[in-house]
Amino acid sequence: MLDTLRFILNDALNLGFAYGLLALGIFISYRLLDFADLTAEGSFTLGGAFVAALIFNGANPFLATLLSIVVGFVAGIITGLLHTKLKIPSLLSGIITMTALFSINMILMGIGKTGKFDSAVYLGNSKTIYDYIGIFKQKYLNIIVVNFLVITLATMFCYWLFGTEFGMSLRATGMNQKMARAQGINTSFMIIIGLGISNALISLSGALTAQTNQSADCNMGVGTLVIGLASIIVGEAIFGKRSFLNWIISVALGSVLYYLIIGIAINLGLDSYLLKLLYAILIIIVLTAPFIKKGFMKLKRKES
Amino acid sequence: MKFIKKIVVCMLLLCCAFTFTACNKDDKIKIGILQSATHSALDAAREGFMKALEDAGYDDTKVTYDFENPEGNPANMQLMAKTLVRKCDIVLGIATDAAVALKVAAETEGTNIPVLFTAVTDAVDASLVESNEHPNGRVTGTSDINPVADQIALAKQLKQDLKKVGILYTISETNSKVQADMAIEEIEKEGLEYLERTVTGVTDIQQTLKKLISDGAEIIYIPTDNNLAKNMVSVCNIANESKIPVICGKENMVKAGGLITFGVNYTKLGEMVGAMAVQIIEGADPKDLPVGRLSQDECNLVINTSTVSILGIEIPSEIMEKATKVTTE
Amino acid sequence: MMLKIENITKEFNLTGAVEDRRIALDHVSLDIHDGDFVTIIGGNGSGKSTLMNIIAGAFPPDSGKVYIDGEDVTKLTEYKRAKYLGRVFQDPNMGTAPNMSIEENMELAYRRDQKKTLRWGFKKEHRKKFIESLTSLNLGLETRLSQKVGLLSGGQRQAVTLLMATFRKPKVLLLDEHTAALDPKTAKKVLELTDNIVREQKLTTIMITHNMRDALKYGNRLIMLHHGHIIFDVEGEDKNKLTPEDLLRKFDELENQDEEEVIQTEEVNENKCD
Repeated sequence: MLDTLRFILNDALNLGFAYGLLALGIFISYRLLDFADLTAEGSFTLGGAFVAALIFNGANPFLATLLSIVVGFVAGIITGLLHTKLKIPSLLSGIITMTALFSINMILMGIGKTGKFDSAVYLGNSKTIYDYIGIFKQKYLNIIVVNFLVITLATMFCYWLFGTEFGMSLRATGMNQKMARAQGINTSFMIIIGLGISNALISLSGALTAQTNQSADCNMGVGTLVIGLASIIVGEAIFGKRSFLNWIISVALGSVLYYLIIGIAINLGLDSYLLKLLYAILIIIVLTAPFIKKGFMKLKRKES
Repeated sequence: MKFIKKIVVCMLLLCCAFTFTACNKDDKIKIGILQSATHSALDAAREGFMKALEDAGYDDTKVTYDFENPEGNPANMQLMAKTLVRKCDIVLGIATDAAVALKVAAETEGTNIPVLFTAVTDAVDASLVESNEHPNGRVTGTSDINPVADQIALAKQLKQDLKKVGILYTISETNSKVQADMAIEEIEKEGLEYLERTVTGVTDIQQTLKKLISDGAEIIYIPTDNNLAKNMVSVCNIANESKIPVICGKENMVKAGGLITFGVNYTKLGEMVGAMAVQIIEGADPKDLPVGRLSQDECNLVINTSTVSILGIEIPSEIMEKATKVTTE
Repeated sequence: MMLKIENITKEFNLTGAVEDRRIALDHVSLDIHDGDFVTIIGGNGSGKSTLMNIIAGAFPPDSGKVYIDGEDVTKLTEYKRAKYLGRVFQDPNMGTAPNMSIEENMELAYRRDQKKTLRWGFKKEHRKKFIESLTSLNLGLETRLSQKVGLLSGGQRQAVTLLMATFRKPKVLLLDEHTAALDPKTAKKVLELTDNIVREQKLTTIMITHNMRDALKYGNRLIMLHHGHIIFDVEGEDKNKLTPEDLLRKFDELENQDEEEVIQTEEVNENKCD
């Protein structure tokens, strides 16, 4: 039984850290920039398809992973440009990029194969970044270590970035565009770069996931937007957002918590079609917890 | 302080949840089945698998099953694969993505568990085995590779002066593309012209099919494509209206209105991999078991007589005699 | 000449129906000298807000030019023009970023005229200056630097916005009915604050207000807009002599003129029909 507990914890850490990058990325667009960015599902798959295609064709996995950050950044910039320069509404801008990425991902996954496209890449025995880290004997522990390092670096980077002049201006843009412009901030530029950074993180998340699963396919991004948002909400509710540092850590850890809950559910033998109902119930519990707490404290005061 | 309190609460909750997860202390063999999604063909394979084991004497006094079905959700697929690989003695992946997830999970967890697969079209392409004859690892199974050559040969038998064959499949399904490529090869071998078109989902089926017909396809071939199989009724309505025969990849597509198929019997495929499971339980090494596939005799020739009357075509007597006849459900 | 507005015209809804087309500003020209404190009044639709938005660069005029301290800024976008201007809006929520602290907001204002680099945004040297200015407000805000601005009251937020607008001396201070959304007591406080700051820093200021008493009490120059024209422009002694009743009479005159125009147009239309 203790074994099961350990396994669930391992899985939650493994997946949670990788998806934590996704949560951070979505946090930047949804919470900081107040921009409902639907590009996420496309850029997650982009990161995975890109890295898998490169590794499949013999590239160095570390280089491929680093480059996946760049392609994600570009995807975000495109959405930003569509919205700021072509005045396309934000939701639609994200959808347009995401749709275009579907085709691009198919083309990427076909590189080095006989067709012009493919819908999946299987990495089989190609080496991923996890194969180069030999700290532990068991591979899954190595994956956790690497993912932990990456999410920690990403979180530190975000904390630093949003404390700089540039970062503050970006946050101001998300809160109040008119006021930001009145303070001399180029809001268009902020949105473009902000979306770029957001999707760069999401793409990196996809790249790590593809290497963990040793495969990438055109549907790997499905549902990631919901996972990201749910992670943010769960993280904020449980760990709070009293300071910016607190907030950002809560978001990064939210994914771990999210996968902990799912892991428990699966191990309890819950049928998979019931899982969705479980998430809904959990989110309700998590969001109403503060009200229940207040009610509880009121009762206590009445008694005393 | 509040922060720490919250972590403690979470941990406590976890431990409570744990008291409910039973530890399986008995000696029964644990078999894990990871099925990619609910689907009649995949369900049939699963049932065939379990039946084969039971027939060989492995009933519920000797084995317990653990089913997981992520219904296509990628993240859940990974979690479920890991769970099964840890808990079970042998696992079966139904469909390519489930099989790959199990293989990767087994390698990552560092266990030596044998991984079986079924309903995978090209196991080499999916990196499940090194080659179909010599898998060379802990993974083996049965492939649902269709007798595409035979299916295309049917086309010529149905229409002697056939010139153009249309191929329709969903772009995101790897298995479909593999079969489509094989079909193209066969069509060209027969000296015919092919017209290949793809759909991305449900919304573009009608228009793409109509374009295929207006471009001159005289017979259309649709491989074992999950998306098109689900929407077979609307596909057939359009094709039958234009009097275009549809050669399908599998039986349930014919039942929905397609004309004919040389179909893979998924139950038999499941039974085959069940037999392999028995061999492994009794000591065989997966790397010595070549990937199985159905022979032509084990494939069902199925024809839909209602469709025959709608199309108003004549079916050669050799086919009519051999075929299992169905009507549209 | 600190601010020169030359022949500005702005129409709205040009592509719409004839009845919906509005000429907000009609060939308006205005010269504002360094140190002028101008109050602008006018009825609804007179063009006051449009004028302010055009000075700030929120949208471009259809024709005409805007010069700030001799520089032609007509083509500069809103955020590029921000370095010359300080702005306080009518809505207290508009001037600050609610989820950021007072300190962060002031840091933003401090860098209004600078490029936003990757240097760390919080500077210790700035803190002292912020505390000094906040102390002068007498609102107790100097001890609440790290508090989120969203938690402050409307009046406090406007005070902070005012501070942010004037912290780095702007060439022109634009106040768009900035006390209209506050209760009378707080409005008075904020206006007094405004007056003090403008006097101390000798700021060129334009203040839109719909309160005629305030329009007369503050500033050295008063402008009245009507239907996109400047119809009244007094300063110095002439302004001091005016009373609110004088202004009200002026408004009545204009309303009567409008009514006559409407009646005349109706008569013309009736004649057409006969």
